[in-house]
Order: sequence, then C-alpha cells, then structure tokens
Amino acid sequence: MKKLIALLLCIVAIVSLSLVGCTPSTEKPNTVDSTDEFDRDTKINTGKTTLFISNFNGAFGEKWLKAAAARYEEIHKDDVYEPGKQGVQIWIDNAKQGGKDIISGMDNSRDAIFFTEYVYYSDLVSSGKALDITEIATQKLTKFGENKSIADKFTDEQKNYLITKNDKIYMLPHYQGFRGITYDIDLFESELLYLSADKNNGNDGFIIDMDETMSKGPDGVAGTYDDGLPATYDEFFALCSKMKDLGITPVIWTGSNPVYFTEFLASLACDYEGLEQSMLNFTFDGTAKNLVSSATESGITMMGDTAITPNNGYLLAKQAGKYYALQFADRLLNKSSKYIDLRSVGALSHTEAQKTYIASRFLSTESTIGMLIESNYWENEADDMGYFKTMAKQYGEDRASRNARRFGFMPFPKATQDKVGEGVTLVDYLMTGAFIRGNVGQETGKEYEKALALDFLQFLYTDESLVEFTLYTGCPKSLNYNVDSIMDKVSPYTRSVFEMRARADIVYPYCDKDIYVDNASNLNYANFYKTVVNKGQGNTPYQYPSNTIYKDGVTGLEYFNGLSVQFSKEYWDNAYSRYYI
Amino acid sequence: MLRVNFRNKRSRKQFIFYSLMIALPVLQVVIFYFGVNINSILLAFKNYDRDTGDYVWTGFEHFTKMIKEMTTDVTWAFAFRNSVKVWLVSSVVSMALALFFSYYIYKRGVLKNFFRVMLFLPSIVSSIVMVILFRNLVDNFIPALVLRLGGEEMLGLLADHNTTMLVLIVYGIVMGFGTNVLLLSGAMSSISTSITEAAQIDGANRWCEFWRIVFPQIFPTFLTIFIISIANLFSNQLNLFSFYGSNAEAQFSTVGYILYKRTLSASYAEYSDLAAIGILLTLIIVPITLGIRKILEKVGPSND
Repeated sequence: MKKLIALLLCIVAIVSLSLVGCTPSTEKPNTVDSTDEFDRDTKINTGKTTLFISNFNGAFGEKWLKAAAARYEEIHKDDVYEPGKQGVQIWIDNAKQGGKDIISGMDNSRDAIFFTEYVYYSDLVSSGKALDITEIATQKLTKFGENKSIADKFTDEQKNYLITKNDKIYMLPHYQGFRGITYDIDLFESELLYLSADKNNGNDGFIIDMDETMSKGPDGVAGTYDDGLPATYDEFFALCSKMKDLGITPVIWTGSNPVYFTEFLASLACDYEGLEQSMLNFTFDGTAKNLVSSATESGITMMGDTAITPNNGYLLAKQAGKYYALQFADRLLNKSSKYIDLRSVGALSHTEAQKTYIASRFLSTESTIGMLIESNYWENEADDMGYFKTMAKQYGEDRASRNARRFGFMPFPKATQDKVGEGVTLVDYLMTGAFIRGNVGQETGKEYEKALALDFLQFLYTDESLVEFTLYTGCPKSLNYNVDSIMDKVSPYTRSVFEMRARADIVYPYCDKDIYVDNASNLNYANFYKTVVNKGQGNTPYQYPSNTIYKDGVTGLEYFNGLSVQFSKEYWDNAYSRYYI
Repeated sequence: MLRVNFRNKRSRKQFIFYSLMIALPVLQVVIFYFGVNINSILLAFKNYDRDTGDYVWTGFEHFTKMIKEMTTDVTWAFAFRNSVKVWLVSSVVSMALALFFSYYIYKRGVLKNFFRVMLFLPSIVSSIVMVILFRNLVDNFIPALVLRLGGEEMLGLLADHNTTMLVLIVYGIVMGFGTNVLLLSGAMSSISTSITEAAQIDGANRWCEFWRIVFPQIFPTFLTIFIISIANLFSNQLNLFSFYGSNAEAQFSTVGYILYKRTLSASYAEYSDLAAIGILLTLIIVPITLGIRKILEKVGPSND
C-alpha cells in the first residue's frame, strides 16, 4: 500500500510538473471558435474539394485568412473541381514554422500554399520545391476588376529580389513588420506630454493645454500627424525626463528577446542613413556617405565619400547611423536616469511586455508606462492573446477595450537637428513570403489542385483581399496598395502606422547579390551589432546593446568602436574574400 | 555468436526472428548515423551551387576559412573557454556529488529512496518545464522576494551578468547528476556484500570502504561516464537554448550552443562551413578523449 501511494505521488508530481510547461492552446484543430464571425465548416467536408493552406499563426493570427477563405468559398460554391464534389473548402493548417523548416519538408506536406516568415528566397528557388508563379504574379488582375498585376504592387527592391535572373517569380511578399516606438495617445493628452511650438512657454517646452500650438515633430511640418512628438533624440530624452517627473516609467520592451531592441536600434540607424545607404549593408555596392573616421568622447569626425564593394564591406561598421543609434541606447539605458522598466533587461517575454504596457494604465501595483518598443503588429498580437478583453472586463469596455485605447506609432526622432524634416526610413525585417508547393497537383486524383492553388493565391493578392488583411490585422501587407477606404474602421494605432508608411522609404534587408545570398544568416541586419570591447578583462564579445550597455557597463561609444574590432579587415577577408571583385 | 543451421527449422526461425528484431535498429543507425555523418563530412568539402541546387566539390576552402575564424574571432575564444570551464566544473563537482549520493543510497542512508527519486526527477521531467520553473524562480521570484523583504529592485540571477554563468553551471550540475547517480548506484548495488562485510570485519571505516572497495569496483562505470562527458565537451550547450532560445549572450556561449544556433539559422550555402567546424572539432576531441581514457585506464584503481 505504501509503495502504491508513493508510486501514485510520483506520477502526480511528474504529470503536474510536465503540465506546468503547457499553456492552453489557442488552436482548436478541426473546430471553430463558437464566437467566430466566420461560419465555416468545422470538419473536412467530403462533399467539397479541399485546399490546404499553411499559415504562420503568430502575431498576425488567422482571421484575415478565414475572412478571405469565406469569400472565396462563397464565390466558388457551385464550381466543380473534381468528380462528385461541388464547391471548395479552404482548410487552414496553423503552424509556427519558419521558411527554412517549411522548405525542407514541403515536398511531403498536404498544404498547397504556405504563408510564413524568415524565408531565404534563394534557397526556396534553388531547392526546386516551389512552384513557378510568374504567370499569376504578372498577369493583370482584370478578372478581379483591377488593371494592375501583383508584381506591379512590388517595390523596386522587391522586384530586384523576387524576380529571378530568368524572369521567374516563386514567392510573393506577405505581411510587413517594422520595429518602432508605440506611445499612448490618451496618456500623452491627459498628462500633456506633447512638445510645444514655443520652447520657452514656462513648462520645459511641453504644452500647457491641448489647445496650445504643438511643435512640428520630426517631419518639420506643422499640422501633420507627428506634431508635438519629439523631433530629435534630445527632445525624446526630455520627454523621458518629463515622464519620470510625473511618476511615469518612460519605456518598456521585452527582456527575454533582446534582439527586439537590437532590431529597433538597427531601424533607428536605417532611419538616419536612409534607404540607399542602409542597403549598402546587403548589396555592398555603392558609395558610403556617412562613415565615421574616429569616434571619441568629444564627438565624431567623418570620412569622405567611400566606394563600398564586397572587398571593404567591413567599413560599414563605421556608419554614423549606427553611432547615433548606440548613443541613443546609451542615454536610454543610463542607470541613473531610470528611463526603462527594469524588466526590459530581465526575463520579460514580448507578450508579457505588451500586457504590462496595456495594463499599466489601470493597475495600482504598476507604474504607468509611457512607451513600448515593439513591432507594428503588437496591438493585433495582444488582442489575439486576449489582453484587451481581460482589461475591458475588469475596467470597462469604454476605458480598456482595444477600440477604446488609443496608441500611436511614434515617428523616429532624428539624431541631430539638421536631420529634422528629412524623410522616414522603416525596415521591414520579417522576410515574409507566400509560395506554392512545387509538386502540387502531381498526385493522382488531385490534378485540379495546382490551378486551384494558383487561383486562390492570386485572389489573396487582389486589392480587396489586401485591404481586408489590414482590416482584420491592423497591419500592412508588404506591397503597395491603398487603404484609404478603411482608415475610419481601424484603430488609431493602425492609422498611425499607415501614415508613417505612406511617407516612408522601406528597407527590405535582403538582396540578390551573391555575397548576401550565400551568407544570409551572417549578414542579417541585427548581426551587424556584434561588438568586441575590452573592459579590463581582455577583449570580450557582446551581441545585444541593451544588455551590454545596462549590465556590463559598456558605453555606446565603446560599443560603436568595438563594431570595427569585430568586423575587422582580417575578419572580413577570411569570411568574404571569395566575393571580392 | 549466433550459429545458424538452416536445415534445422527451429534454428531458421530463430534466425528470422533475430534478423527482424535487429533490422530496424541497424537501418536506423545506417541512415541516421552513418548516412547523416557521411553526408555531413562530404558537405564540408563542397560549395552550394544555387543554379543547380546541388553541392559541388571545392576542396579544403571551408576548413581554412573556419580554422581562421575559430582562431581569430574572440567569440570562439570565449566559447572554447566556456566549454572547457563548464566541463571542468561539471565533471569535478557533478561527479563528486554523484559519487557521494550514490554511496549514500548504496549504504541505505536515511530517506535513500526519496533522494533517489528526487535526484532523478529532473532527468525525467521535460527539460523545458524545468527551465521555465527554474527561470521563474531565479529571475522573477527571487527579485520579487528581495523587494518584498525591503531590498532594492534587482535583476534576476540569470539576467544579471555577474551571476549568469554561475547559475547556468549550477543548473547544469543539478539537472545532470541524477542520471549519474542512477548509473553509479546501480553499479554499486552489484558489488558483492561479502566483500564489504569482510572489509568491515577487518575494521575498514566508510571512507576506507569507499576508496578501497567500492570505487575500484565501480571504476569501469565511472570511467565510461567520465569519458562520455569529455566526448560531449563541444556539444554541451549549457542549456542556453532552453533558457534563451537564439538570444543568449556571446560572452556566455559554448561551442555547442554556437554550432546549434548557427545551424538553425543557416542558409544552404552556409551549411558547408558548419560541417567543416564539426569535423575540426571532432579532430580535436577524439585524440583528447582516447588519450584521457588510456591514461585513466592505466592509473585508475584496479577492481581485482
């Protein structure tokens, strides 16, 4: 009996410990949420032809795909694709597989179309596993009432990258992700955190009431959406100080994913450099105009224009944008200033950071948090996680629901006053894509599958579907399309993202050059922030500015100078000499 | 050795049964060990050709490149240093603890079964569950407790770079030595009681019994565990991926972690570099492992 009890206790202990690691799945395979707005089949309908779709179900969720699928199913409800069946059923297989994992196993997948992120396009093409979709990408979408093709909605950079040397297209861009700063509009209004047009108004340059004329913001133009927001780093830190004085914690971000902050800094650097200079980090072809020859405590001196080729790509570690971004990090992470929530350099996950940011307005146990460093999709992700609903239940729909909260995507403040008024540059860092399995339709009895997959993919890239995507996710697809018709239906945050996007140059951190394609993971844009610093214990490698500056006492200047130690000529020669010209 | 007489029906049946039983594991080894490793070795001598989607011969290019990278990049220097540090501490401390607890269990100390279960429990519970529990303890609970007790706001022990390495090593030791306890206590339990009883009659105390009787008897098991730990020197990740995913700091990385992380994100063209690293590390660790085994076999205690 004693042994039996001991055995049972062991089993209970093991099982409960194992369950600790499980979170309730948000997926309900083969079922549809009862509150779902789409009345879709909950099981595979043998009376209809089924098209299986793989969807990366991360921050962007699946609602957008369900909505499009419902429309498509309705349009084709009477069509016959295979004998004995009428209509089509779009079946969504939600997954969290990145491009690399999908490519290796897609031959044997039941899914015909894949929507995912972090795709090495060159590997996808050379593997021969993706279907040539040139025809649907280049033909005019006239059957959907448009006079453009999908390829016409690509940017020039996307055309260069996605259209292969033999004029083929195998992948379409999917959604867009930008790192940036989110601010709480309600908080900024209630606490008068906007900057005044009159710097000497007796309130440290901040507005005294909402009727006061605000400063012009980073675009340098009065009457635009960024009025009152910090135009320069100096103004940003003045804002942080103001928040501290008011008992507000200025900034939070995830600590357990320090790469988020690194990518934010990299975006800040790209905003300084602009599209052309930023792309040098991937193409190694052009003239660098902002290289620093020396950086000391007293400032920087600049090099003249320098031709960049694969032979001297290491010089890009000296880009001034990186210097200024690291100076920004240095000031933000200054321990005595206490501008950050300490969990930002701790173990806080990105969703916990979102939850903490949303909840901080209401919880007496939390200091209110002014800004969140995240990506443009965070609001949708937090909504899918139920954070807004939870807050709305506790604090009222009118105060705490997603619709009631007003957030904004803050335009990047500029490093120096002379940069104010220059354009915005954003980085779409997710490398997303949609592609079709190469052997689709080759299975006996499924010959219809290829045409169906091509048709559905094309359908998803019509303007109507792209706009619908934005309506459901609050996020942009990585293509040029007009969203004016829904701007009154989306959140203030989504509006601010699109306002920024409309006037921004967008860096797609990839290209078709051999040096990039062969070294795609090494030349990832966040990898340029690997540094080597000697703090008295010999050269030490560091990788994440947030941790390194806050925890290891490395200054932004030391971090910047260390980039050139890491990316030395010797290192570069060894890694990339085979691409030298 | 199985002798088969194909004229004998019973012997024939035994052979078929044996063949069927062994076929799957053999196939598994052939495909997933020999196949994968041979492919990986060949990959180190090839470059990826994007036009054809094939790997083509290139000679020793990746070896020279990676030797230079591993000898000049400070990240590798730290990774080697950390790997050796982790192995040294784990081997000495973990093996000493494993021997102590094994002997305690063998001598039927108080709560021996409790210790046996509790020490082995981390080995059978999902590692990711243990990581979540542990991380919450050191990064959330302890700072909150300190704050509640009137202390200052502090970083968690894993988040604080002053304590990160120590905490990771301690975690590795605690999680790792349960299996060793099981193996060593199993070996101890097979020692004939007549030997230890004779030693006790001759006046041997516990210390003497352990070093003169028990340790020599279990030395082959000890040696096996020790040699395996050396062979794993460059594949030990220090649980970094479980704790940090791909986001562990470079200064705490081990060789195993760097390899794993780079493999996860590598494009097709980058696999050849990684394959070359794998071969180079094998060339380093094999002679070390065999050398240490030879030395220990010579100088180690005899169980005669």
